[in-house]
Amino acid sequence: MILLKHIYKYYDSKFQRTFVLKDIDLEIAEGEFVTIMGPSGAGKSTLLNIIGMLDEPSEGEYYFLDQPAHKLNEKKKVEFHRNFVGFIFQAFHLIDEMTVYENIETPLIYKGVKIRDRKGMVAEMLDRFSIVAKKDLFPTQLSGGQQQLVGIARAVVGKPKLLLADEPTGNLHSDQGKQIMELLKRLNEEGITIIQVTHNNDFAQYGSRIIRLTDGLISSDNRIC
Amino acid sequence: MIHKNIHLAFRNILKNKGLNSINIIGLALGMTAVLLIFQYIRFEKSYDKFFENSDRIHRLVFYRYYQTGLDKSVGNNYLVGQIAHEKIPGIENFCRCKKETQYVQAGDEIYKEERTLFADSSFFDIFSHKVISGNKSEFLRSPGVAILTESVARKYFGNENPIGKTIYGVNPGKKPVVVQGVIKDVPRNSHLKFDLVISLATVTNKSYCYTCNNTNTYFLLRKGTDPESVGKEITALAKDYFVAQKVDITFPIEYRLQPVKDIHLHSNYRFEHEINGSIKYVSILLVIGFLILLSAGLNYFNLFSSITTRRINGIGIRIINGASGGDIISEFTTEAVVTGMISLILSYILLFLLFPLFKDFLNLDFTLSSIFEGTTWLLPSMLLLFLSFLVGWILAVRILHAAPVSFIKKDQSVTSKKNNRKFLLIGEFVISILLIAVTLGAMKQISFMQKDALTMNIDQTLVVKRPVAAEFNSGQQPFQESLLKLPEISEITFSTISPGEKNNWVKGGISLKGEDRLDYQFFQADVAAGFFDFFNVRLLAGRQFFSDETNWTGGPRHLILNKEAAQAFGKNDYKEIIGKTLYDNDSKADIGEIVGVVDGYFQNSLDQEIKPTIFNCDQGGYYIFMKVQSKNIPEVIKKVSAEYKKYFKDQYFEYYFLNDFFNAQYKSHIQLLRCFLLFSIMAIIITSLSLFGLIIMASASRTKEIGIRKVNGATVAEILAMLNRDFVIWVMIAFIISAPVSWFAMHKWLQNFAYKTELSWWIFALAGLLALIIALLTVSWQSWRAATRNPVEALRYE
Repeated sequence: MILLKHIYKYYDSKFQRTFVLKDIDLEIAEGEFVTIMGPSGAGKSTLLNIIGMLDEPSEGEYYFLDQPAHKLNEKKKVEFHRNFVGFIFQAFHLIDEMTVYENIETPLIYKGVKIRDRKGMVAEMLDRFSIVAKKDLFPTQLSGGQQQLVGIARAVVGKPKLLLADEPTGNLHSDQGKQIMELLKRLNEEGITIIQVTHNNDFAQYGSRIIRLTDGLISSDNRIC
Repeated sequence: MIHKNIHLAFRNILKNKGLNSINIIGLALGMTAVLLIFQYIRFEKSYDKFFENSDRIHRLVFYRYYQTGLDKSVGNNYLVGQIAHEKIPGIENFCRCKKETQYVQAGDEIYKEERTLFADSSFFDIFSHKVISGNKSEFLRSPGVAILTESVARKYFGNENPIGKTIYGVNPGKKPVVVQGVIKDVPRNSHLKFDLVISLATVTNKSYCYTCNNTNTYFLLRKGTDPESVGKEITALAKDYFVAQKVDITFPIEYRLQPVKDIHLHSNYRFEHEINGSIKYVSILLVIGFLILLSAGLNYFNLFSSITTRRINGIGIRIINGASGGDIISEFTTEAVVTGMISLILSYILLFLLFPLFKDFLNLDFTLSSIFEGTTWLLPSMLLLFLSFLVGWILAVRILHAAPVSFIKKDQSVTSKKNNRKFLLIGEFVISILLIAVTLGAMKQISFMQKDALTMNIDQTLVVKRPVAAEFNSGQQPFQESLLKLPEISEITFSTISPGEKNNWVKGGISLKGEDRLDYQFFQADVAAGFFDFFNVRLLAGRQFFSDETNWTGGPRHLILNKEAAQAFGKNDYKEIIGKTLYDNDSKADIGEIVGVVDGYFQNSLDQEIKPTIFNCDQGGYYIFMKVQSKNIPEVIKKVSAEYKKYFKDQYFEYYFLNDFFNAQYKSHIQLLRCFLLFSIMAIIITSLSLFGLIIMASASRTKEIGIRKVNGATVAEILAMLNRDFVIWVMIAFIISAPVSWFAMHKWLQNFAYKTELSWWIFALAGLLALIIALLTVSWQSWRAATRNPVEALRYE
């Protein structure tokens, strides 16, 4: 599904070239649950952003479902975001001016889903995550764990193939974190490919593969049994 | 989708109630100003268009190219219209009319009708006034008949039917006139307004001056006739006529046709019916309106931009969730247009509510036009909505370019840019300072004209106009003597013309005897011997009139010139002209001997040059001027009118105070000044609103910084200085930009005035200072709050 070949990411300033990612070669198949780990500044988030087409590599090739992503124009990128990928973040990044219902509904609106279908799909999400009672509340009225639930609901309501999670449990305490990880595991079992970035070793075990990044290079790539 | 966007737009607007209301109010104010200006312009441009055939109605203008300058007059002689109508096929109909002040007696009351029109029977064939009663085909066809307007009919006869009743022209004499019909009051947007029409035939008797150029002439042209060629034909006819009559015209003359629709905005000739508007004012107002809207628009852009920049996070999230650039743009533009729409509705409400105030303050002559009347409402409204759309669009595009997803990469919130705010606010200050400076300059100019430059003394002067007819001449002397006996009256003089009136006694063809004929236009007046002393008019050379000047039989008449007349004869050393004789080349006779040259007699308002004038000394002039010493004005009037009744029995007692009368000439300038004042206030409010919004946002975003500074020992005063310093700098920059611009604008405007005040530096300094004070007042409350807030609170949430 995802193929990265000789990916470099660097920033040039005056006389210096700072490398964030060096010569990354990576292949991820559909259905995998991959964890990217590493010390601060190792380039984990950058890698995730490149996979999620939020950022562009300085050099190298990125193929998503055999399409050359590094050559895509704006329109194709929008399509990618609408149909194939969902994001969840450490800081949740919900839209404060919208209710829970509307937040979850957002990706469907941009996809052009009709209102009747939208209603059904959002209701399904609310039910699944047991947040029906909270559907008309605003994000500021929810706890951290509940906000992340909404974030995940929003990310998967459009049934994307890929879910990218940047430190999803970073702002939650351990109980809430576990809840979220259980949820992610279940989603993965239902067929969504998940790539997460985390510092937490315990939560890393939920996945099936751990990739360690050090100083912009892949230092290890192991499967977990 | 649009439905959803509108829903979201409302919710967003409500979320930021404070900032959005500032935005909306500011924009609504600007829009109100624009709507008001559009109403005014619509009214001014609508003059005389309601007549049927208004396209074909033209007025005859007589051009005389004197050496002293071009004289344009719409006073023509009695004959030219008739001859033109007979000889030129393109002219379908013509009429003559003359506006005069006529004293009318209806029942036992005498009324002074300043808007009495004397007109030919064809008048109502050309001007389609609405007839209420009477047989139109009979109107004005014989002498001694009149048509009343509705209000006048009601004034004279109440609810009775006026048709067939008799009114009398009095002062002088008592001439009966029968009422033939009643028409609807003349609409305000006509250049030719009158209260009643008396047939011209009533006054065209043996003593009527058929060759005097003092009658208006209008033509109704046939369809397809070119007015320019008609003008040329009339010119040719006139020249032929003069040759046939052996009249020598030594300076070029021309006749031209002026479309009736052009009259109000494009002319202010001699013998105009009233002071017309001016296309210049329309242009000035358009510019001011544009500036105000610009200011409000800048405000709008500023605040909208800040509000939306706060939401940049939300935009990034939307993009990640599949929003295309188009989706984002459509959300922004919807919100911008919704905000614009709310402002628009508010501005309509404001205009309807405030219009009576505006009407009073600015002395407006019109009422608001119906909303459904196309351009006046629709055009500015569409413009506003389009501009709102544009603002939303520009901001959306800008934000999209700012790569909103970048914050997500670093997983933090983005802070807003301050630079653009600065320029927009400076722009608003420039506009405000400009308007304030221009208002101050206008005030100074008007005050200058009314006080400093007016060297002659018109204060405490009561003017009584005695009846003009010869039978009353003998009453004037005893009347004046009895007035002087009153303790309240100290001095008296008289003349044939009052300062503040238009002098229509002009003559060409005058020269110094023995010298070449000059084709200058001289004005004339008959004055009492002590006239110039009364008004403190300076003598430059020679002497004043002797007190027994009028009884002088020992030689030629004595004349006094003003300095402009002396200069017209090429004499800059005024002593040279004393003793010379003036000669009339047309009647081939001496006029008189020059005994003195004076300076500083102002016939008209000081926006006009003093015209070259020749003064005769005469016994009777019907304007009697007296200096009043008492403060008890009603008492003085009572006494004077009692004396008046003794010598001018049953005559209408007419009086005014000279300074009021003279200063009434500045009405339109004062109207313009009030306009400037009103719009300055609007601009200041808009700018203050802008500032207020900005300071709220600035202090909010700097809360942490202020907290840290305070913790590190900064005093409240130092915080205040820090917060306000930026604004002060911006006002100074705005001042530097606007000072030359306002100087230039005022300099240009002052070119319209003969007597110009000095554009002193303090006008600009004061304008800048006012702007600064207002700015500081606006921000002080909010900065005070920010500066005195407990730093713990500011630093608590990192």
